[in-house]
Amino acid sequence: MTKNTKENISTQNDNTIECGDLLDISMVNEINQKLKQSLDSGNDISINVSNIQRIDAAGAQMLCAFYQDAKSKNIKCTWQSPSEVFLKAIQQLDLNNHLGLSCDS
Amino acid sequence: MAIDITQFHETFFEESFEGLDIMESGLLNLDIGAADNDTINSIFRAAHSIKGGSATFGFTDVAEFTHGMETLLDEMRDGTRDVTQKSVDTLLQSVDCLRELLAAARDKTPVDSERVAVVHKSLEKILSSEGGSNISTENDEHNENSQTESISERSGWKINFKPHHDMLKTGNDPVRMFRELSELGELTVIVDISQLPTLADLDPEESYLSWDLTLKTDVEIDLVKEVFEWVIDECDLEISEIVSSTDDTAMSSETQDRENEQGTENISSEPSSQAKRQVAKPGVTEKSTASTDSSASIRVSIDKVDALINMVGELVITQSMIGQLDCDFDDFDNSRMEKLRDGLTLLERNTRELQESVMRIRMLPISFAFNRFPRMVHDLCQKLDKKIELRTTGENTELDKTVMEKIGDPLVHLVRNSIDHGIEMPQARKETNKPETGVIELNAFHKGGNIIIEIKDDGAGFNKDRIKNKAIERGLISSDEHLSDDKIYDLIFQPGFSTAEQLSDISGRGVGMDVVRRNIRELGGNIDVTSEEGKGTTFTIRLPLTLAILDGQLVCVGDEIFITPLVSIVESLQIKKEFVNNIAGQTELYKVRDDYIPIVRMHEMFGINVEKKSLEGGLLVVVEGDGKKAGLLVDELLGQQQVVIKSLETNYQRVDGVSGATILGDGTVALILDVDGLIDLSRNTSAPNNSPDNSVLAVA
Repeated sequence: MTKNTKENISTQNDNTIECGDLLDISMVNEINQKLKQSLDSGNDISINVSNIQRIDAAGAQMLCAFYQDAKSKNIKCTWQSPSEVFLKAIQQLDLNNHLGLSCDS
Repeated sequence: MAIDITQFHETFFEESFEGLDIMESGLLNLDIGAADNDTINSIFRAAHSIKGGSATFGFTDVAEFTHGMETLLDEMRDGTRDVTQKSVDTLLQSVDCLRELLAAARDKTPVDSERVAVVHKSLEKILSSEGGSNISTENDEHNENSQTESISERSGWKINFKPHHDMLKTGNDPVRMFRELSELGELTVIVDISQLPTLADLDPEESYLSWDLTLKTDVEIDLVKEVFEWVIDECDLEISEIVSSTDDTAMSSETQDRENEQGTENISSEPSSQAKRQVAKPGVTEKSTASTDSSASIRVSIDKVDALINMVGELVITQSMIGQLDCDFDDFDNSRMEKLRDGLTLLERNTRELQESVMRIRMLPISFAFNRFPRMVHDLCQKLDKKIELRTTGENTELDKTVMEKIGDPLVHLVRNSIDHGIEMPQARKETNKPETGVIELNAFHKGGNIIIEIKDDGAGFNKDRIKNKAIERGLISSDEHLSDDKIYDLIFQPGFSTAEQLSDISGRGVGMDVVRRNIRELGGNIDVTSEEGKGTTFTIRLPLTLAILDGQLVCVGDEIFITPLVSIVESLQIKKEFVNNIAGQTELYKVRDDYIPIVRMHEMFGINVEKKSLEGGLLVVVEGDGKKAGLLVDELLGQQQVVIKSLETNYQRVDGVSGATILGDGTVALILDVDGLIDLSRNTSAPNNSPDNSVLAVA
């Protein structure tokens, strides 16, 4: 089974966003606001995706836009203990690299 | 109420084929390296219409194929991709494929799916390469060719999936769809995030991503399509076969793709000999240029329809005017007779004008026939490494639809000949102080009651000595025979005659010019050739404007009436015995001024009993066909009238010397003479040991 490396995943960060267990189209507007605010702060950001039990393309796409923005603004972004469900969905959509999550087969 | 959409199929196909012509001519006009947005837009619009229509009517393979073209054109249009020769060539090949797909859908015939897959793959390869970097290299071409050669088995499906912005809002989730796909086989996913905006501009409920999926599997396409069943109207979807090689030396298409994308060069730069034979130059096929296939319908401008309605209106008025005359013949005075005469004159005029209006409906601009040539010249120039500019004039000259459809192939043959044998290689032209780029001109214009089409090139021209020697070699003429230039050039129309030193797949097999002339003659026209060595050659085709109606002279032979086409008649005269000469007791010649013309005894030719058989005092109708004259011996000259031509072949059988038949005002059938054929026939039958077989020609 595919595992992602833990290099980019941080559990220690003051600016942490909790994604909860559901990150689908019904939740994206809410999380989107939080992500925008944290980007505006200019601080490094940690996103807790450890509890995600369901994520769809809308959620993954939003995280991708966020990560790309952060990267372009030199804001460090780390993923906290990504859940299997999260990793699998991200890999399914080929967004690993675009989220800074390299995979080892 | 359900609508039967098949009733719209014919219109869809007509419009689609017109769209393909627009695409083809637009692509040929594109400047490589420059983005001509107007042209690209018009090509894009045509592709878009075809895609939309085909999806609506359920021709999914057409819609899917067009989608790839549309994507490429879209990238060219928005400037993210350069207009390269390779892209244009691939799009031209795609136009050919699309034409085949549409024809197959229309005719319900199978399509060459392997060829379609190869072209589709070429399109995908360009699309998957970086914009502007897809410049064709020898290596690319060799890879493509070896791929063309070796593929034979499907190993999976390549899917291009681009959700529309609103797709996610409908609850459809690519994560789920890709999971389902991965259950069908080994799935590789490549995402495209190029359209993803910044977070500030992102509407998180909309979709901005698209994916290229490769599914290695042996399942049928239906199972793959099932995964996308719920989103088919909410995404752009393209599914194509991945074909794998049966050739051990060839790479799998996917591996090859990836390596090409990465620019690696681990494929031999020398193509295999087998691959070399199959250099896939863009569509040098008959099918690719067959844009003037005969169709069962015709598009008519509203002006012509209005004119027709006006004529019918006039006719109704005339009818009512005549109807108002009280037909009590006991009391039919002069004033009413006058009115009747006026009415009949008006009726005659209305009928004539109505006939002309109806005939105009069948007339199409000759551009329909000329449109295929830019592509043909483009393709053949690439194949032969020649430089040729095609110039056309008189494209709006109108010609009957049937004539147009039948003249297409002879024109193709003549233009091919000019490209292959007429125009020299650039180096050879340079050495003779000619511009490297040769010129082929296609001119059309009306002259008298005919349309003239000229095919003129500034190439090498005919070598008269070579033609003559070839004719002597083949026993067509004797070595001491003196021939005029016209006669020498006429030899090229002999069956199997070719002076080409090398045969090619384009022309030069010597099985063409005789067929060209025969086809043109069957249309009631003729072809002349003039040439000057080193300067060029001009073929001149003369055609009647229509095949449906003929201006004819009615002549009487015994009890039979024949129609002689007026255009063929030079003069009519009464025979004077002193001008009649006999040659070896076989051929009778009549002296007309300084000319001697053979006399054709019509009653003998058609096996008709006549009372008066002597020539003295008889009537001779001097006719000319294909540059040759003859005198037709007839009993009486009747009137002249327009006749509607009925095909003898369709209604009876082909008869030499007769081009058709017509029904006269009194209901009798009259044969229409084929003057060219009649002259040839009379020459053959007057030769010794070849006496006329009247039974063949006897009027049925």
